[in-house]
Amino acid sequence: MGQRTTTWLERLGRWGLAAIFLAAAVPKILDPSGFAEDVAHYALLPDAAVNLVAVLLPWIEAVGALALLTGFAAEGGLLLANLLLLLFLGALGQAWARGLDIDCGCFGHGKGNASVALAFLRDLLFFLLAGAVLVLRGRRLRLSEGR
Amino acid sequence: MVRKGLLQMLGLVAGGAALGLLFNTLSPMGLPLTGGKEARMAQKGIRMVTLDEVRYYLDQPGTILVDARSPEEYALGHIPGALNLPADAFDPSFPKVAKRLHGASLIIIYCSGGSCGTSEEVAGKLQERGFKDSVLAVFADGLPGWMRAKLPIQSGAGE
Repeated sequence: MGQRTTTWLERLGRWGLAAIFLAAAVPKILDPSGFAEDVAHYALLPDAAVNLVAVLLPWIEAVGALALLTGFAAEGGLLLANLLLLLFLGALGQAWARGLDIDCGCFGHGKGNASVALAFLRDLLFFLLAGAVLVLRGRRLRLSEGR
Repeated sequence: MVRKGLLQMLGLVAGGAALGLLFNTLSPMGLPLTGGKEARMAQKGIRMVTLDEVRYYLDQPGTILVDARSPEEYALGHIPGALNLPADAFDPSFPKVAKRLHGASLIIIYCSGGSCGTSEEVAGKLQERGFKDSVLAVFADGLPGWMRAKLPIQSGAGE
């Protein structure tokens, strides 16, 4: 694959991931109370930590999305996207394994989100995309350094 | 690339966290950072009740218990007399219990205790339906708290 193709594939992948993370972050930022309820439904965190996570997580998603979109700190944005998706997969996976019938809260509270199983499979696709874009980014940087 | 990426990622996490805290402080929708469910309920104007309070109010006329868990969980066991109003099927279930709820002087909602969020979700939906804050309460310890006190439970499907 040539440098030009690699550059564009990496760029398009990054923008796609940025769109996903922005679409996930904005509704949560606008309804922190609803998102806190969704976080609580996973029954993973101590109750006292639920609000803090509901306040911080959407902004971390949003800042990561901006890094992916602009290319500023793109490597950090890609690592963050992979890490967040891994965390989401863990949370959804345990909810699925425990048979929890909850709204995943992935793209905002009460927005007709997918079931836990569907959300897990969807996040798995996003994770594969994020991993592929990270590999493309590394390849692109290596090609640039080799010129 | 890895070292640079990790440092950038830490910077992004710190930046996002700082923005989140700042926005939460300035926003009228901001959440109390500690206190969990009790703090969220207080923000909505809904009070939490303890097991002793639940037992006291159940002896008073006009008190209704609402089980916010799924019909399957409800059928396996619930607090005697509780109505089933699952958070996930609120809209189709509400008409079946609406008349009794509208006649209540206090509606105590519970779920599986701990950090379960369905009781607060149902409380919020009842608020949206026009129920006053003073009529709504959440029993945070839920069914596990009731069972720990070795109080009787009832099994079977709802109405």
